[in-house]
Amino acid sequence: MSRSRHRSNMAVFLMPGMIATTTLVGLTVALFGDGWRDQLSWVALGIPVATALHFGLRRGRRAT
Amino acid sequence: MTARTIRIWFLVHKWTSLVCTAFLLMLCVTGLPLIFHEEIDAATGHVAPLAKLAGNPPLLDLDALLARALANRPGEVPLYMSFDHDRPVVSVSTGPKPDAPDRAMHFQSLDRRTGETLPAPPPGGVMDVIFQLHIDMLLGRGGMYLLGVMGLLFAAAIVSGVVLYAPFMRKLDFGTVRRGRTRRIAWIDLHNLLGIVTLAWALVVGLTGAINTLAQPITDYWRASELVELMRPYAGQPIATGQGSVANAVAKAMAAAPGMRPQYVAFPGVTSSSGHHYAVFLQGATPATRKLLTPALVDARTGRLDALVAMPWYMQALNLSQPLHFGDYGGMPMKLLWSALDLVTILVLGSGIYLWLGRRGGQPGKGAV
Repeated sequence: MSRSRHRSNMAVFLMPGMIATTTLVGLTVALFGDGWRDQLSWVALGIPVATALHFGLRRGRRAT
Repeated sequence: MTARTIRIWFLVHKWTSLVCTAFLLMLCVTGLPLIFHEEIDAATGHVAPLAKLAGNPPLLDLDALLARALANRPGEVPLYMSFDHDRPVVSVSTGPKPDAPDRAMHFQSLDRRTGETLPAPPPGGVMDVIFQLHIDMLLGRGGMYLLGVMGLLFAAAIVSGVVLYAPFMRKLDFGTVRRGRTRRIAWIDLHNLLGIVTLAWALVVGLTGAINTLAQPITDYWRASELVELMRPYAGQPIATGQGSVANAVAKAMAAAPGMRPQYVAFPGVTSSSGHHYAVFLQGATPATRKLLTPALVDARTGRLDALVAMPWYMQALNLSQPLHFGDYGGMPMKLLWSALDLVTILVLGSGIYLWLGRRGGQPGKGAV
């Protein structure tokens, strides 16, 4: 993806949509049992947290 | 989207956020320790340890345990009896009358093996204040509904924020935080990034919180609409307070629903029962079915099982809203993730205020779109 291109809604919401879906899977799956379902929910709910940390704390590349 | 559409969504985002942000900050800050209330309660002596007994002594009869509990509270009637999930403890709520408000209720726990009353948790305490702030700001029912409305505004702020995310991100890669320019631009990017990654979690926790504020009216509605038919044969009879056997009611209910266990019993006359029944609320074994309660109604006078009542969708929704709001159904790692997401939400709220304070009449997102 080039930095200057004008992105479609599809492109803009691809990552947010995947993160939201993953979150919802994580929230739901642990409701239906313990064990592997809990572990799957930790991974799934870890994704929005990890994404926030990764991009939020990334050392600033100067300007765009 | 035209500039005008963006402007309208921006106004929706601004005003819904402005109204709810202070409340949401309070909810996020008080909610953080509440995620760990079980651990904090255990560490501060709010959960009494059980005596260690040799072997595996049989459990006492529920009627005998109830009699012991009532002997501790002369003149009061039993309201609820609840069962600990993971230890042989039964808790009895009593009050001056069956429809006593929460504040007039007295709560005690008994060891089912010995019948000993467990030491009452130390009263008050900072966790109690935090809890009350979180559910109603110490303002009672009105405060609770106000927070419910704030939860809905929060949801509207999230939705409008998602709509605005598109025009902001047309020329940026996902996750871009432009640190090299003004501090304001960096915070706009961070606000957008943190808001969009926590979107689903914040919507679920916000909306389930709003639903939880309606627990009492939803339960009242269920009682009035679903139980009224079952109650018809009892019209004109006085409330069956103090009649029948709770042990029998629990035994009948468990026999009718194999594989389920009682979570609590509502005595005749209290909100979630009828005037003439023990309502035994049965739960399943998984976190979801543990919350999807099925009440078994046992006639207090005759001891007969009248009905296993399938809960309608709105009661199931209410029951599922509790774990989804509390994050208490996936062990300690889930609690830690819940608190991380809570902290990120605080950052989204705080950066929102910062961006609004710094605006002063500029165009929405000037310099960023």
